[in-house]
Amino acid sequence: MALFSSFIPDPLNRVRQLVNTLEARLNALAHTGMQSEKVARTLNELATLSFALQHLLDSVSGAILRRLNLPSRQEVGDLALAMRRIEERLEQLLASAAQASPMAPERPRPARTRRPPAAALAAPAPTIANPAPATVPADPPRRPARTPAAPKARIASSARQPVAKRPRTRSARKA
Amino acid sequence: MGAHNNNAKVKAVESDLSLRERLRGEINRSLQRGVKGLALLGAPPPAVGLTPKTLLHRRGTLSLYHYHAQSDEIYRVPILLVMASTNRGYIFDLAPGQSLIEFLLLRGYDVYVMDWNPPSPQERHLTLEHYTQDFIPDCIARVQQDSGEEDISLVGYCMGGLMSAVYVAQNPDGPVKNLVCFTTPVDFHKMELWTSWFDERALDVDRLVDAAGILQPETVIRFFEMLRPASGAAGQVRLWDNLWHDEFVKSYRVMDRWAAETLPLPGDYVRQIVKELFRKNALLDGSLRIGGQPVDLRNIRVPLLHVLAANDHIVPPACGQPLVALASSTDKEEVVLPGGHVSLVAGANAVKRMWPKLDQWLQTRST
Repeated sequence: MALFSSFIPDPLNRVRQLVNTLEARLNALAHTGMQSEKVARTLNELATLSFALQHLLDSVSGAILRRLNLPSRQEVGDLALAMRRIEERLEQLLASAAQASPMAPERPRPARTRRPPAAALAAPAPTIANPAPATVPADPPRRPARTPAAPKARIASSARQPVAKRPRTRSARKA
Repeated sequence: MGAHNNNAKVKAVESDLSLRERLRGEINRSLQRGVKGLALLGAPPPAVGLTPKTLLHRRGTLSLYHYHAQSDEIYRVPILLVMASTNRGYIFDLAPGQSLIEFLLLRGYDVYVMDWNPPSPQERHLTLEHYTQDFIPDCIARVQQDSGEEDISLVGYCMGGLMSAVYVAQNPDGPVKNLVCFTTPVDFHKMELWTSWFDERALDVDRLVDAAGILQPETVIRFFEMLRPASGAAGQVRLWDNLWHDEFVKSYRVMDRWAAETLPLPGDYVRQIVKELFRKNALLDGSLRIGGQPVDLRNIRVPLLHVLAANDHIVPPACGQPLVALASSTDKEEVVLPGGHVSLVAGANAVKRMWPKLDQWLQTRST
């Protein structure tokens, strides 16, 4: 069937191929053209002109806003920043309150005892001298181990406060 | 002769049937394009970043998230993903089934993500010093505190990979146990177009930064789009062609949303990258200094995996290859996978290739 289908051209497929070819050629052309110093200078001149225009527009619109007794972009930005600071503080306070509440159930943390599948352990670790193949098939789905979860208290963090480190647990686990 | 005639008739009927089926299919698709295209016009933005998580810390442009474990037993060493400063971190968590984070959680990893918010005008002075000597160590300390583990696997994407590599190079004695980088640039002169545009004869970066303060996302997007100027229009044609295909449209819309939500960049960060990395290529030649300290990639001694994309138009493989070549790690690996800069971490290619490779590499080094 496919053989007979190929006798009658598919116009949409041709269009798709044409789009791909055109895209590749135009991108390649642009890549070559835009590497020249002349193009880079033109881009910079355009950018400078654009910034100058933007500056002029900002000055004019700033004058109009002052005249209309409306806040400028800078003032709105400052307000937004103040709001963000309040939001951040609220998020931290809410998180702390949730942690501190005796009613809040602690989300159970799974045990950190997972081991890689035996096949992965058997294989030598690939190095630059012995690289792994470029495509690696996915491992078969594994059934999660039914290890009892070790609940762990979460400590609320706050901005710009030093973080107290917990003792290392690796040595205990190794033991 | 009679048999030959019969065969010819059968072929003609089959050809006719094929043509009719094809026509019917095309008419059906055209109708669906119209209906679904109209529905798309009023559709809300696609939902992204749905995997359950907790905001552990937020400070200005920085957010640190902890994703809720999805397996009963996890690997000992937590993963801290460092997103590139140009884009939102939900590229790691686009949608269920299209999420690297979901994949890692299901594979038994404990996942933390450093994500970025748009920097405020007051944050225009942020530089690589702030990212590598303040934000990353701060997040590492918080991950250590939250997980109770000293060791961490640091996984950085693009400029996030560069920041991670710089951090590890300046802190070779820990606490990073494993370093994974995706499409991380090192030899900036291999990014030919940008090197040409950012040349001092072409671009007055001081004037640009002093005028802008914060580089607006439109400018950042334009710099990315100009690398492949024809791809935007071609993408629109492809979208129209595939409007009938729900999965294609869904993937296109989330990726489109992600690209459109490119972040503004702090002016001084841009100035530093243009002057130090694009013009001097200082990371490659070892002359880069961050916070007064030299950055020597040869100081990286932890197990290192660098995944590059064969068709990456932003960070070509040649641009990232010096990372593994320079690092002193005895356990190091560089993999070049088919795909582009973004499709390497999200999309069908990523699901089939990069994610399993990452899992395979990390699992033996996360206990």
